Amino acid sequence: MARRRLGPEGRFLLMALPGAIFVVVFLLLPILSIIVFSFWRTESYTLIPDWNLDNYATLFGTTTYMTFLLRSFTTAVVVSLASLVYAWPVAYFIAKHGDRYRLLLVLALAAPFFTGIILRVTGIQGVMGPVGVINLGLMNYGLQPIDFIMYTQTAVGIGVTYLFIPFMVTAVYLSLLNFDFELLEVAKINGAKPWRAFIEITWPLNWMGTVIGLVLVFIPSMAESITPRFLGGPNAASFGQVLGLQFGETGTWALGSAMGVLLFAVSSLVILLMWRTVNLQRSGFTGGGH
Amino acid sequence: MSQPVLELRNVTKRFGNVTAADSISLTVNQGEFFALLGPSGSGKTTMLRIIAGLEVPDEGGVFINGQDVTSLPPYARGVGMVFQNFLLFPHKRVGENVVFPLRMQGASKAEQDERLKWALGLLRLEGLADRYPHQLSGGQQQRVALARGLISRPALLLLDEPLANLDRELRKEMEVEVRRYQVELDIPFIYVTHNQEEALTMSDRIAVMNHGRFEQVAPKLEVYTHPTSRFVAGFVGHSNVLKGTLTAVEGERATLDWNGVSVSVRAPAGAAVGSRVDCFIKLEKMRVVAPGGAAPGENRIPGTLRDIIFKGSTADYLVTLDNGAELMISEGSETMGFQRKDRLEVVWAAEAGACFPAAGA
Repeated sequence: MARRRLGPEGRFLLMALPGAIFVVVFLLLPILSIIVFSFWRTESYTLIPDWNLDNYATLFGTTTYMTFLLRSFTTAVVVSLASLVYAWPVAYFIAKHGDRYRLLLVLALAAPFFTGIILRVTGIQGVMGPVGVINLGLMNYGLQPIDFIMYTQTAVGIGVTYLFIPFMVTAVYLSLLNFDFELLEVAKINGAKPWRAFIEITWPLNWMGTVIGLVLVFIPSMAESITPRFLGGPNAASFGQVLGLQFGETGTWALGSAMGVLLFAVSSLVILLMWRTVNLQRSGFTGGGH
Repeated sequence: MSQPVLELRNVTKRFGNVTAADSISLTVNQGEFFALLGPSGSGKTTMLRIIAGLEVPDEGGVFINGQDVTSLPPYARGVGMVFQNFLLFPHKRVGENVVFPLRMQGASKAEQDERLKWALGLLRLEGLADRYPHQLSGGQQQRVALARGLISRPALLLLDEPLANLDRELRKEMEVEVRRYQVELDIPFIYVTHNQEEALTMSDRIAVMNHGRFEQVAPKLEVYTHPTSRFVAGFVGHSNVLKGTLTAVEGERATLDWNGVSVSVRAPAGAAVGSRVDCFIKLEKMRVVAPGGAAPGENRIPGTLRDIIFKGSTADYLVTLDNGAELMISEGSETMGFQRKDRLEVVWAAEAGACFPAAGA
C-alpha cells in the first residue's frame, strides 16, 4: 500500500495544531467555564446551574466592588506609565551601549524573578516597611520615617511597578534591538536636534514594542492580588485580592467568576484600545506590504 | 579667488591604533564635484563623517564657507548627506522623508510645499509622494535619499557610496543623473567611492586615499594619466605592472631590465642604476601588431596571442611574451583579425606609463 503524503494544507494544519490545542485548552475552555459559572449561583460551596444575572447585579450594584475595580484600574494605569518612563532609558542604554553584555544586563533585570513572587514582595517589604531598610535607616539618624511607603496605596504601586518592570524593559529592549540607530544620525544631519530626532524617529519606530510592554505590565498589574496583601493597608485592597477571596474563604465561586469575566473584559478592552494606536505602516513595519 | 566652500586644515582622527585621517588638508570650491577614492578601510568614510559632524577630529579644523564648524553638531552645519543603504525613514511617506530637513529648519508650510514640488520634479519622483519607502525600487529609494539631501539647499552635499547597492545598469544611469543634478545646482558634491569608474565618470577632481592619507589630489585626467605614487598607479585604471631593475638612466628616460628584456621607460624621480622599480602601463596604452618593423622611441616585444576576451566595444588581448611574461592589451574589438596562437608583437611608447620604486625597496 502506497503511503499517502500530506498535502500543503495537511502540513499547514499539522503545524497549526500545537498552538490551537494550547489556545483551546488553556484559554478558551477556562474562559468559557468562568463565563458559564458567572451565570450560575453558589450555595454551601457548591455551584448550582441555575441561570441568573444576580452575580452581575451584585457586582455593579455594590459600591465596594466598583471601588476595588476602579482602584485596581487606576493602579494598573499608573504602574504602566511609571514603568514606561523608568524602563525606556534603561532599555535604551542596554541596547545602545550594552555591547556584548546586553543579554547579561537584561537577564540581571529579570533576576528577581528567580526567587518567586512571595519572596520578591517580602523583599520589597524589607526595604519600604516600618522595619525596612529605608525607615530604619532614617530613624537611626533621628529622622522621621516615611509614612506613605508603609501599608499604603503608594507602597502597592511601587511594589507592583517593581514586580513587572522587567516585562517593559524587555519589550522595549527587543524593539530597540531591531531599531536602526543610524537613522538618528540621518535625522541629525538633516537638522534634527537630539530630542527632536527621538520624537520623530525613535519613538514612532518603537511604538509597537512600547505598546506590547504596556500591555504586558497592565494586565498582571490589574489582576495583582499578592502585593496589596503584603504591602497595602486596610484601604488598599485590590480587585484581584477580593476576587481571590471568592474562590477561597467565602466560597462564592459564581460571584468570583463574574468578577473574573469583568476583569477579562476590562483587560481585553484596554488591549484593543492600545492596539488601535498601532499603525503598522507608521511603525516602519515592512513585511508583506507590497 | 572666491572663498572655498569647504576647507579642512590638518584634520587628524585616530581610532585606537588606527589613524583614519592623518593630517588631512583640503579645499573644495563652489560647484566642484570632488571624489574621495580609496579601498575600504582607507579612511574616506571617516573624512565624510568628520565633515558632516558625526565624528569630531582629534586635531585640526573644519571650515564651511569660512566658518569654523569643527565643534558644531551635525544639525547645525547645513550639510546634506546621502548614504549607501539609503536610510530613508521607513515610517514616513516619500514626501515626508523629502521635506524632513525643511521641517526641522522650521520652514513655512508654503515653502515646504514649493520646495517639495521642486525636489520631486528634479528627481522625477512625481506621483510617488504618498508611497512608503518599502514600496519603492532601489533606484527610486536612492533618488528619494538624494531629494532629501538636496531639498534644503545645503552648502554642500556629501555622498557615501550612494550607488553601491544598485545594479550595474541602474548605476550607470544614476552616475549620469547625479552629475546632472550637481551641474544644475552648482553646489559642491563630495563623493566617496571605492569604484574608480564612478569617480572618473562623475568628478572634476579626485583625491585618492590610502591609510588615512591623500596619495594624490588632482583633476581626474591627471590622476589617471600622471599618477604620482605607486599606490595611485596601481589603484586607478587597469595596468600591466613591469617589475625589474634599472640598467641605465638618461634624464627623463631609463632602461629597465624586465625578465631579460630591455624596455625603455620614463625614469622615476630619484632613479639610480641598479634600483628595483615597478612600471605601470595602462592596458590601452599598448597595442598588438603583426611582427616586423619598428619606430624609434617604441618598445616592441614579440609574443604569442593566448586569448581574446571580447567585451563589446573593446577586447582584451592576452599575450604570452617570449620572455615568459604575460601582458593584457586593450584594443578596439573590431581591429585586425588575430587568432589564438598567432605570433605578434606588443608595442608601446617609451613615455607611456609611470615607474615607482618597488614596494618594500
